[in-house]
Amino acid sequence: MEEEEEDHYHCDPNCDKLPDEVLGLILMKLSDPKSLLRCSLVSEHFASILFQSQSLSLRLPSSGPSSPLVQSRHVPPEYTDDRFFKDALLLGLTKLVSRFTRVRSLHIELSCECPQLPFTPDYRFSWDFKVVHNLKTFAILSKSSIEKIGKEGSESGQPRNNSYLDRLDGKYIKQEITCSMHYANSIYPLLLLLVSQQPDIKSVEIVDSKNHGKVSIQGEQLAKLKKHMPNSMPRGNSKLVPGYSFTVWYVPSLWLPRSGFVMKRVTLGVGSENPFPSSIDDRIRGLANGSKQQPLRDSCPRIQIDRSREL
Amino acid sequence: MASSIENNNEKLTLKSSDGEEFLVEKHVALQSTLLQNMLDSDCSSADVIPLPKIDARTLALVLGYCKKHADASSSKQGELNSFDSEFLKDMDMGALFNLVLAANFMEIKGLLDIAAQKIADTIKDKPHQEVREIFHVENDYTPEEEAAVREENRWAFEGFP
Repeated sequence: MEEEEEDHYHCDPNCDKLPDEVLGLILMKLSDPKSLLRCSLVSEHFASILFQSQSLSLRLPSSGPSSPLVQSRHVPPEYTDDRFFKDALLLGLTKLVSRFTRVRSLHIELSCECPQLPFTPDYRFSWDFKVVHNLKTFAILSKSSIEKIGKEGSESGQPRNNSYLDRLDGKYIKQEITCSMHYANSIYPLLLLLVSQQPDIKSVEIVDSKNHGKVSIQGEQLAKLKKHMPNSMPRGNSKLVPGYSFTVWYVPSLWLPRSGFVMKRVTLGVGSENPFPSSIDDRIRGLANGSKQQPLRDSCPRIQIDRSREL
Repeated sequence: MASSIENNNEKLTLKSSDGEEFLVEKHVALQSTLLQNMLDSDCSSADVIPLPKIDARTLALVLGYCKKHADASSSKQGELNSFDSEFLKDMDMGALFNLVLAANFMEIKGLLDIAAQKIADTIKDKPHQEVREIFHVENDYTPEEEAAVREENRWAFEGFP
């Protein structure tokens, strides 16, 4: 077999162009949204290799001056009346992700910002998403874009098709509610609190109030979290609560483990004035003791869905 | 006893594109999936295996990497990691390209990953015009197309020519 190939490869490697698969691998390792966008301008071929990638990993800068998430001045005028874009400023990033039309797995890392914490968290949050279908448009959630996923995905036996769709129809879709989820900024302190109070905890699952998604940490990740625990946890919830912060993420596909649905092209927003009610301790204990998911209530982490216009 | 000595002595001969021959211990060669498959499919180890895409300099580097990784026990991951970063440290782009091509051809996943990562790290903060030169790529955008993309994604091009 090798002998047959031999004739085709007499060229010195230096004059060979990189095969597409190698080029794709290199570009995928950039991980930085800005670099990816700049590389898409190298040539059309580069761009096509880049956007054909099936897996995308993005490591996002914290919201400093260079972050795409905090720059409103680049939002085109036609979107400035849109509450979502005006507040969230996700446009650039959303557009970038939307061009990866074949992406099957998406990994997003962002640094966790808790300015009010008495220490600097030294690792990042990451999300992994598996995309079930081709990504065509984005930031649009409609009935047709919600699909039941197969056996490997569904945890709960009984999907609640009707109520779920009805709820989406009746509330989210028609009213086009701007999203709000406290995850990025509130779950980190919540996790720390849990781990500090329950040193033997084996797995943590945090579910939003409407069962739209969850954060699940166990095994190695949990061990890492424990390792990075600050020696003294601040007492009193008020110190754990960041004052107000807002971050928004676009997620091409979000698996909802309880209902067995996949929400597609979802926008997740993180924002709150007070993500922790004073009675949070009881609920945390509930979460930690049973491994059952106990939904936090309205004033707690919450995912809502944003339906933005197609760009 | 006898068989273990025999195993230790088992060697392969690899031949680079410029004709240089390399004698490689079998367990080192097994780092390469390509060579592993060839050995599995009854390719006699007495044969000289030609690697027509890989020059002698690159092949020597590749085999150095394979030897280190084949000899190190898995418990020494930290040592391997520092070997890896040291290994690529002062390598120029031409050498990295050769290396990534060789790793791809010989199917050495670890080497492919670190070499690709190193190239990515190098181009990460470079303007796209410079990336074009590094990869010897012709710009096939029209100036209008290029301007449109830049305009649309101004945040990504701030501070770049």
